[in-house]
Formats: sequence, C-alpha cells, structure tokens
Amino acid sequence: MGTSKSEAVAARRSRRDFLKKSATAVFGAGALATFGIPRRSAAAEPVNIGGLYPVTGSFAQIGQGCVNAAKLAVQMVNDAGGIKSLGGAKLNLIISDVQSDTTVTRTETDRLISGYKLSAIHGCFASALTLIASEVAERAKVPLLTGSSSDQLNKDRHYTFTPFARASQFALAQLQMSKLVSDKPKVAVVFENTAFGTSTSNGLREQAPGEGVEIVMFEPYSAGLTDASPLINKVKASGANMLFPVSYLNDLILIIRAIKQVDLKIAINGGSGGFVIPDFYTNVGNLAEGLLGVAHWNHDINAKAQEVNAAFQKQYGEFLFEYAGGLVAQTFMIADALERAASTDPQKVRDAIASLDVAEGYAAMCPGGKVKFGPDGKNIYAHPVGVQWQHGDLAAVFPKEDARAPLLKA
Amino acid sequence: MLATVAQAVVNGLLIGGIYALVSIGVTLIFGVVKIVNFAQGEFVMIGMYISFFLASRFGIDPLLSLVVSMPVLFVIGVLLQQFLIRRVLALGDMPQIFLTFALSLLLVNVALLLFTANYRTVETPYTETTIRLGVLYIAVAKLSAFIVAMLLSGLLWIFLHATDLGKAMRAAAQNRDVAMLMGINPDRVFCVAVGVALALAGAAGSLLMPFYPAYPMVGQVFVLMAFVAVVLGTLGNVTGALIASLMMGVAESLGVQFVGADSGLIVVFLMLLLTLALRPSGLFGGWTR
Amino acid sequence: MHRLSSSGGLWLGVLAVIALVLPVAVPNAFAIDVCIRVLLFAFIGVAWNLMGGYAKQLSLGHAAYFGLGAYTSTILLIRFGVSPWIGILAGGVVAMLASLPIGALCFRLRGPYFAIATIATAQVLMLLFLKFRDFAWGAEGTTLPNLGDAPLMMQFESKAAYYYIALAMLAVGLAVTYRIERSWMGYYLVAVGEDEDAAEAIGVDTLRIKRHIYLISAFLTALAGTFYIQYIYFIDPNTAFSFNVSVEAALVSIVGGIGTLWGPVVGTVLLEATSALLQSWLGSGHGGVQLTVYSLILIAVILWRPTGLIGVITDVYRRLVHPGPARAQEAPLDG
Repeated sequence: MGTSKSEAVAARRSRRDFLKKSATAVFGAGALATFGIPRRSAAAEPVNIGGLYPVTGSFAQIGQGCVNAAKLAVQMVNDAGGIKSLGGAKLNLIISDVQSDTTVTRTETDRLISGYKLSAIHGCFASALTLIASEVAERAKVPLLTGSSSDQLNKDRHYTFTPFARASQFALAQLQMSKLVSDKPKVAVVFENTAFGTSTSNGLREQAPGEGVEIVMFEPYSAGLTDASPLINKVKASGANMLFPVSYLNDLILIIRAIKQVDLKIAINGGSGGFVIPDFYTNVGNLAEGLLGVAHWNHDINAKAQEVNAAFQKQYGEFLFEYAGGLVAQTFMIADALERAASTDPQKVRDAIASLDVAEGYAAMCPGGKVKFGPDGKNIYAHPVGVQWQHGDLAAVFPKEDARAPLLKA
Repeated sequence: MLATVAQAVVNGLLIGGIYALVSIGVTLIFGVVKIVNFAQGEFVMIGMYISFFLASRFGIDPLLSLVVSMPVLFVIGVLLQQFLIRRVLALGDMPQIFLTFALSLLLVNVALLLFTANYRTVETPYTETTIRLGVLYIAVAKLSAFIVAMLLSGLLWIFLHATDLGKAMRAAAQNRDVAMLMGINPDRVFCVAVGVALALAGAAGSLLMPFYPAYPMVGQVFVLMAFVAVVLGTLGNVTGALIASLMMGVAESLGVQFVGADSGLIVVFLMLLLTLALRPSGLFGGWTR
Repeated sequence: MHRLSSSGGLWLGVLAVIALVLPVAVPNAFAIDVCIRVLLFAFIGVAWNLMGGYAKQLSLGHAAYFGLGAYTSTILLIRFGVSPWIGILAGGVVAMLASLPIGALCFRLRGPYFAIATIATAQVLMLLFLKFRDFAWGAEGTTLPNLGDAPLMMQFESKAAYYYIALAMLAVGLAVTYRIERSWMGYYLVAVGEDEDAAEAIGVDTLRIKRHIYLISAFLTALAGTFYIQYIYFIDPNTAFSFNVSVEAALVSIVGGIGTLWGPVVGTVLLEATSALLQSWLGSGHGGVQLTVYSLILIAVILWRPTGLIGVITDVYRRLVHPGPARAQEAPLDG
C-alpha cells in the first residue's frame, strides 16, 4: 500500500467501522430470521404436540423408527376423529431431530415449546437426552411423556410422566428371568458407560442379592467397541454362566459374535435398548434365536398392540419395536388427556394426564393393560415383560400373566 | 492366567492389523502431502459399504471385493487430491485440518441420507468360525483380515523402497523442494499418495465387513485409534504407524483385561501422552519429517 | 493492530446498545436462545483465539477446560452448596492449574502433534470423569437442582438474564483480547505465532509466553463451561468434555478470521445462525440433510476464504466504498 501513515490509519478505522456495521446487520438479520418462525395461532384447529427423537447421530436408527411410529400414531388418532371435545381438532405432530446430542436436545426442546405452543411432548429415547428435555419441559411447564427408563426422570418433577417400566424394574425382571434358565445363576454384567448402561446395571447390582443371584463380574466398558474379544475374554475368565450386556446395537452385534467365536456357552439376557429391535435379528441372524431380553412394551401384549403392529409392519416392513410401540400408546394417552381437558393449554393437559386412568384402548397398550399415574409421574401398574427371540420375532415370555408364548429352552 | 494373557495379546494384534491399515493411510498422506486427513475413517466406511453391496447383491465375499474397493478408493483419492486438497496446500495447518474435518462431516451425513442409519452386516461362511491353537481361539475372519493387512503393508513397503515412484514419494516426503529440483512432479506424487492411502482405507473396510457392522458413523470409531497410532509412530513414518498400531491394539486389549473394560482407551491415551512427553516426535521421531 | 478512534467508538456504542436491547425488543425464546449460544460460543472462540489465533497453537482440546470449569462449579454447588458465582471463578482457577501440566507436556510438541496431544488430554479427562461415579456422577451425569428463580445461585426464570451474562462474558473476553493485542504480550504472541524458532532466536521466552496465554485462555474457557451447565441444567462427561466444543472453539475463529479481535464473533454469528436456520428448515426431515448442507457450506467457506470471512467483509467494504482503479485507495482523512 505504501501511503502516508495517517491515511492508512483512517483506512483501518473505516474498515473497522464497516466491519462492526455489517456484523450488527448480520446479527440482526439472523435474529429476525430465526424469530420469524411460522407459528400457528392458538385459535385455529390443530393441537400441536412435539416429538423429539435422535434421527441422526449415534441413535439414528432407533430415532427414525420412533419418528415413523409417532407419525402413524397421530394419523390413527386423526383418522378416528381427532379430539372431539375440541371440535374434532386434529393432532399436529412437530418432529425435531435432536441429533443424539445433549446441546441440540436443549435447543430443540426450547425451540419447539416457544415456537409452536405445544400442548404436550414425547421423546427422546436415550435417557441422557430425555433428562435434558424433561428439565426444559419442567421449567416451561409443558407435560412430557417418555418411555426412557432412567429412574432420575421421576425425581422432583411434576411435568414428566413415565407410563412404562423403570430401569430398576428392568433389572429385577432380568434377575428373575435368570432363574428360569439356571438354578445357580452366576451373572456377568457388562454395560456401556452411558446413562442407560449405568442406571440399568445399578439396578442389577442392588437387587441381585435379594433375588439370590450372584454377580461375578460387573464391568462398565467404553461404548463403541472396535473389538469385543477382550471383553468376552474377561467374561470367560469370570466363570459366569449368564451374561447381561447392557448395550446399544453395534456393541451387541460384536458381543454376540465374539461369544460364538470363543465357543463360550453362556446364557444371555440382553436387556432392552438395541436388543429388542428388528435390526438386531437382521444383523445377528440365527445367533439371536432363543436369546432373552426385557422390554417395556412388546407387540404381542394385547390385541390392540397387535393391531398397531400389523399397521406398522404393513407400512414399514418390520415389526413395531419396544420404544416405538410405547410412544404410540403415549400419543393416545395425550389424546385422552386432551379430550378430558377440552383445552390445548399445557397446564390443563398436564393435569388431565396426571389424572389418567385407562384400562382399554390404545392408550392402555402396555404390559398389564392399565395406566394410572402416581404423584411421582410413574404409572403404578408399570412393569416390564421378558421377551425372547423366537423365529425371527420377539415373543413375550415372562411373567406368566404377560407371557404370550412358551419359553424356548436352549 | 497365562492363557488369558496370551488370548488378550492375540486379540490385540488382530485388531491392531486393522488399525494399521487405517493409520498407514493417514501417515502416508501426512508424510507426503503434509496434511492431516481427519476424514480417513469415512473412507473406511465407504469401503465397507462397497463390500456390503457387492456381498448382498452379488454374493461376492468381502475379501474378494478388495479387488473392487481398493481401485475405487484409489480413484476417489486421486480426485480428492486434485480437486480439494490441492487447493488448500499452500495454506496453513488450520484450514487444511478443517477442510478434512468438514469433509468427514459431509461424508457421514451423505451416507446417512443414502443408506440410512441401519446397521449392515454380512454373513460369510467363516464369520463365526474359529481356529483353536491350544488354548487360543482365533477368529478366522479376523485372522484373514490381519494377514491381508500385513500383506498390504508389506507390499506398500516394497513399493516405497523398491520402485521409482515409491522412492519419489519418499523423497517428496523428506524434502519437497529438493525433490522438485530432482525432477519429481509433486502433483503426480501427491495424487498417488492420497490414492494409495485411501485404497488402504478401503481395504480396511472390506476386511472389516465379515465381522463388523457397517453404518455411517463407523469410521469414527477406528479413526481415533488410528490417529493415536500415527502420532505414536511418528507422523509420516509408515513402519512406525504399523508398529504403533499393533502395540496399541495389544495395549488396549491388555488394558481391558487387567485395568477395566472402560480403561482400554485411557491406557492407550496415557501411552500416547507418556511417549510424547519423552519423545516429542513420536517413537521413531528423527528420521522422517 | 486496531486502534479505537472516536468514530470506531461510536459504532461500538451502537452495537452495544443493540446488543443490550435485543432481548427486550425480540422476546422470542428461541431467538434469545440462539443469541445466547452465539454469545457463548463467540466467547469460547475468543478465548481459544488467544492461543490458537495469535500464538498459532492449534489446540483441539479446549473442552478439557470447559469441562473442568463445568464440573468444578457443579460439584461445589451440589456437594457443598456453594453458589455458582463463586464456583465459576473456582472453575477458572482449576482450569488454570490444569493448563500448567498440560502445557508443560504439549508445548514441546509442534503442529499436528500438539493438536492430537490436546485432543488426547480432553479425552482422558472425559474418560476419567466417566469412571468417577462417586464424586462426579459418572456417565449418568446429574441435573441441577431446580431452584426456580435464584439469581444468587445463577438460576433464572427469564432467559434474558442468561443473555446478559453471556454478553458480559463476551465483552470481557473481547476487552482482554484487545488489551493483550496492544500490549507487549501481543507482540510476542504474534512473533511466536509467525515463527516460533525465529522468536526464540531473537530472545523471546516462547515457553513463558505460551504458558501465560494458555493460563488466560484456559481460565476464560472454564467460565464458559460453568455458564453452559447453569444454562442447560444438566452435566455429564460427554457434554462437558465434548469434542464438538473443542472443534467449535477453533472453527469459529478459523471461519471468522484467526488472530483478529472480531474474527471469532463474525465466525460464530455466521455458523450458529446458519446452523439454527438449517435446523429450523431442514431439521426434521430425512436424517442427515441439515448437516450435509452445513458441511458443504463449511467446505465452501474454507476453500473460498481460508483466511476467514472477516476478509470478505473487508473486501466487500473496499469495493463498495472505494470503487475505482485497482490501485489501493485510501479512505478520506475525516473518517
């Protein structure tokens, strides 16, 4: 450039001014653009409910299935006439992808609540994500229903409702089922070090002595294994005759295969999560036959569940899995609450959910067939079902009242 | 007890072979082109999907599909160098790192769009077979992956040391300017380097397919280990990457066995930090830049 | 080096007024949320920029300090009932202390070795916190006790309060950067960044400079960590030590303009605004669309303007305000 110093200074000064001007403009434009999100006016027909699921990121697979089920559920409600007490108002489902990320969950929950005047929300599959969404919903005073199992979801909350079994209940069921397979169960518990893994495994550890089950190995592992062999090596060395892996699908695939590879004869109870989705069978094939698991919902628990399963299967080509089926029931619970509240106001809907008491219909699709919430947001009738992979499908086999198929012995 | 240790070591070596294929690619690109390729894992992923589709549509065994995945990825590598990497060569570390990082994000999400998040596995006749050697169990799928990985590494070594083009690559890696003075065309050398590196990544993908599920984010699981191996073995040093990978596989396996199943990774990272504390340029620092 | 002139001061004033009035003028909760994120990540970017932009030490492990700040204040809050206003400073101190051994290890490393070593330190911390179930809740993490509106405990019912805190933090970060830029340290930093060996050769104690700037950078980043947890009401190792935080810290500076005062701000505004818009428009559709578009935009920016978009703005200005022959033109003296 090579000019006089004062001119150079002036040049820099004005450049800097312009910079600030444009930054402000961009900032302002950005704020205005995001502010201008289309919103439905409260007086218009549809009732907005939010569905927050991880459609991308590490839970993408299950998230996509959940979104499919959510859409189906809303369609079913609307086809049946919508919310009659609101003049046949249709449910309008607002889906958001929480990208399997806690930060995004926070922002998205906020965005949905403030942008769309939601009456209720359901989500988010992974306990870690649901915990955040429930915090936001709590402070925004919007009711949230979830099938996520973390026991933390019922602590100090008035707006979170869990119609299905809790992590501690899963654990108990797993322990009880182990006695079906062996008289002296020696269990190895292997769990991913995530919220899901730790809460479920804690439940196992606490309740094992009470059930007379000996835990010979209790080991967290880093989710996302490149190789399950070292882990299985350890299981083998522990002398366990039963394995409880608390894992997501990719690790489960490796674990199951590694067990076969070292010829380890061990009974497996895979808990829920990645174990009870169709993709597990697709990827593991025959190795899945006879394996036990636990689920908070299964498609054979009652006739209504089977109906929904058939519809889902027709549209998407695979059976309706645990979390997805559960959220269909939740959609109907929300619809039931809206009917009784005759209002879209989240507070009234919340109160209507709190006083929910159903024993029939799609809203009561859960093990035991009844839903009624206690003061802590838990369904007092909730309990899990033990399931078993039989002929490429999941059958409920435990406890007796809920068994729809006999337990196949290995 | 000894049996457990021996098994742990064997397990570690076998998976280390895969880490080696991925890390050799990274170190090759760094050595020659001087750029850190954060997207290397995604090319492994592409290799896996290629093998998956060949297996599910045409019934071709993943090991055989190497014949397809490697050349395809070589071509992708050449294109990558020509159209993307070349543009950022003159810039500093940061834009380069972020370019490959953004590329990684792009590839993962395009894969998600095209293939969905579902896990894809391949069942081969040998997916579950194991060889027993005394007390040791060796999974055939992993053993064949290891053997092929070692073969490919060996071939690469021969290429780098016994062929003119390979020597040209090493020369360009050591000192680009002098190499140019000697008449070596850097563009051509870079294209080959990136092409070969990506071909190795593709090979890793094909070799993984018999025993590992494919999904869009699968590359990220392996790339972290690969990077640690690359740094441990000194950036740019192919033999170093190989040895470091094997070491890390064993360390991880032993760490899982004796420290805790969630400590495999900590052991590896601590190994890395300790090595860097003592030898700031990695284990073999000093001979190749 | 920029100098604050009267006209520059006027513009800064205007900007400040707009920033202060924004939450009142635009009471949409989502918009404020986006603004808070912008302010917070701009602040983290500014903190990173001190190390990575001026001194060119490409750290990809700043999440380590973010997480240490976050955990320190949360542990103090939940286990000992200490207010996060004190906790935030405690977190900063812890981060500073941590930066000493980490720096001692990493500063001997150059380029990619340094970057990967920093990644490793953040990952090790994450893995350690995943293991520490007794003291720090392990993988499950914990939510903050819901205290409703409790300003003394850094919990507010209105979002605007968080906005102002973030704004204040950004202002502090910018002020610190501005002062450093103009001080002896600023010159040494740039010298180290340009050519570390040459700087050593002429007698600059590069290690001491790096250590000092690392202390400041770590402290500031830790403040952001505490704030963030107070804002999202939840902490777990994956969130606190997230690699994404490390990447974003560097990315906003690189996209905006490393080694400049306003670079990180420009970068954050553009990246976060883009991300928020894409999420609103494309977020719920097919998995992957939004991030595909986002990454394409990133690649385009890096290819087109590798020195950062701050250069674009400058160029556009020059072309708009001084059309004419290609020869460099100077602004009129009155300014």
